Amino acid sequence: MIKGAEMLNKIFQSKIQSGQGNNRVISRNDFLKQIALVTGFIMTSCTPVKILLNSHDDKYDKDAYLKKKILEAFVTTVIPGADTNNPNLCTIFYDEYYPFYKYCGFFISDLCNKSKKMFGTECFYDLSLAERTEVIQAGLDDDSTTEKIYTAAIFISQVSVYCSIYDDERGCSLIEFPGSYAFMILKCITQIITTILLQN
Amino acid sequence: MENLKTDILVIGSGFGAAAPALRLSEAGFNVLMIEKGKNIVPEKDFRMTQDPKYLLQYIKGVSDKSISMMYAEGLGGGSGFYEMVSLRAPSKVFSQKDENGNYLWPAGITRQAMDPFYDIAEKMLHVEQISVDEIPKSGAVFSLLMKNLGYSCDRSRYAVKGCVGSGYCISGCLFGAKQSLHQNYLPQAQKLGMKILTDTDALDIRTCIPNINSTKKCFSINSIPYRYEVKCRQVEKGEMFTVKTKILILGGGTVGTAKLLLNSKKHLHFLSSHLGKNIAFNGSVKCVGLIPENMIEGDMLSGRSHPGMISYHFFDSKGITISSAKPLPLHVVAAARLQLEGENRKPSYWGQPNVDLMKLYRRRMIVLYALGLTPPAAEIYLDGTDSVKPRMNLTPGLIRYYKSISKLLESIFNRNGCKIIHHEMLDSEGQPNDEINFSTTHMIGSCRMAESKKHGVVDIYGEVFDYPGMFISDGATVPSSLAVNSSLTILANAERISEHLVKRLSMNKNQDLADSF
Repeated sequence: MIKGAEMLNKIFQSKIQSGQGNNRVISRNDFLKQIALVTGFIMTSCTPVKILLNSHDDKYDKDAYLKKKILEAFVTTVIPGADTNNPNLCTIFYDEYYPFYKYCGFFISDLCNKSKKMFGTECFYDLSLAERTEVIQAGLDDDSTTEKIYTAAIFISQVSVYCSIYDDERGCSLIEFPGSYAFMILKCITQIITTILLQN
Repeated sequence: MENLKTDILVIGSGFGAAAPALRLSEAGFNVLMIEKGKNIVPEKDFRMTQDPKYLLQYIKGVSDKSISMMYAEGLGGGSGFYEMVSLRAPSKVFSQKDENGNYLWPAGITRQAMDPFYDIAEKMLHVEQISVDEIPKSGAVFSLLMKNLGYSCDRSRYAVKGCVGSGYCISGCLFGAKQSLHQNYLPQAQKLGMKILTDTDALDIRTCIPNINSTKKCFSINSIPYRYEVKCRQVEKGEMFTVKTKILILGGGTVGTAKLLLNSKKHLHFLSSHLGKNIAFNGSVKCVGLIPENMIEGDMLSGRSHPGMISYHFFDSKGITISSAKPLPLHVVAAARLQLEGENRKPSYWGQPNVDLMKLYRRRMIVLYALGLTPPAAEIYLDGTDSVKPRMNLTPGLIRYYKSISKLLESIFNRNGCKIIHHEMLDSEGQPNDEINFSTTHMIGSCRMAESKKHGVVDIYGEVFDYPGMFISDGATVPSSLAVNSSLTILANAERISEHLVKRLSMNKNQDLADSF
């Protein structure tokens, strides 16, 4: 398996490039690797992270409702239009399978601190979409460790919501993904090739 | 867990392991199979899902900066998670030569010699050419891209029976239509008395008797002493036990078998120096594009994951076949973080621009991939623990190959008005990786067959040089790239090895100890 620092670096520093330079294309194998990377958010040996984790304000850790509101606001900023009735909208942040849950406390605290610093209120969820977007961008522009945590939070939100990983039947209406368990009759998923070729 | 004894021990349960397990069970031998991965009951354990937790239970890999190898770990090996593409390797494959002009395949193993075993494998897996009205939309799009440029393509052959069109075949077919080994070889062998232990990791192999070569001429199963002892660990419980066996068959795959033998080298001193080397990776060059608005869309997130079509158009000129792959939702999530060629806009891997891209990619992103006759250039080695790592020297020839095939795939997209989607990979330090990384699920050859120990690890019947009664029957023995998906050739070769083994053991089945010496 790809592990440790390799996973971490690959997931967190993978960014869209300007189209210049030595680009590669992603393959199905890369995709499988990518999900390995999602699960491989391992930063235990990273000293700056240890410092961050130990120093963040833990008042949000004790209030589940508040945490949920903040995380929902985050997810709907990253994915505007995400279904807020989805009971699993924020589940991935607490899922102990993904090591992000260890950093969730710091992440929430940092979102609120940035909200206060930038817009005078620590209620991130009360900000407008444009303001929340600015807060998240500030996190991405912060020091490299904070950037990594924000990048991971964005990525796991996307994996969770777009792919509906906690509910195989739900899917994601935003992108018209009917869900993995949406049963399509054969006719719906094939196209008579001769018809297609005649179109040309 | 008590220590065990068996006449025949098969390690692994994928394509390479299942054939000898069944054939030896049919011949009446006492067979025990051990598998490191979890037990899988298709209708109960397979899921149509994008959940990484589920997928990563079974999908494993090893990687380095220039090569990544993915494989499946679970009962049935890769058969639960492959694309079902089942193609015979073209004749040209068997006449490939190495850089010194030596043939890679041993004399006598040609496509013609392999055909009877391909027949058996195809019959067992119900392999048939897909019918016209079963071609998925993504396959139709691929055909159109090729036809527009005057390139030929054919309907592919699949190991499927009674497809209900559920889709997401690679996360495991819970309807039993995909012909994984759970539908044929494994239950048939179990019916004949074969026992399977899953969650059981083979750690190393030792010989039970000092001069193992003295047993070389023991053919009767009754006369063969217990020659090999395999140290095992129950994965969940951590309990250790051993299995003593007369005949040992290694079928844990290119990575698994080589890993086991590398970990056994301290006990098996006469293994060939080729162990772990000569891994061919079947080309594996990919390109991703976006289908233009004026072309039909592929509805990429619904239905079958396989494309149904393949092109041999460039096989003679470039030694490649080209197919398309349908991205899965997780794939598209990753892709939406990518860059469309020629678009000079701000990165948009989150927020509304990302939602817009997801909507677009979800219907119009398609992957072209070329499998080709690249040389056996990779190897795996112990990384200082009990684990293995791959490595490969990216020669100027491999770089030229990658660039030339990428250029061809890009030109197919470009000339059809498609946009190329780029993605930057990073190295282990998190820096942009300027080097090429081949990623493959078709790695073969870590214990290749050859006419002598000087050139390979096993003889033409899969028997390990200097270790009588120890056989390798999986993809590790296949000595070259195939330019098509490797599963059918691995199975056919395992059938060939099994036929020899059954003949050899059955010939002397009733002889007593005195006779066989």
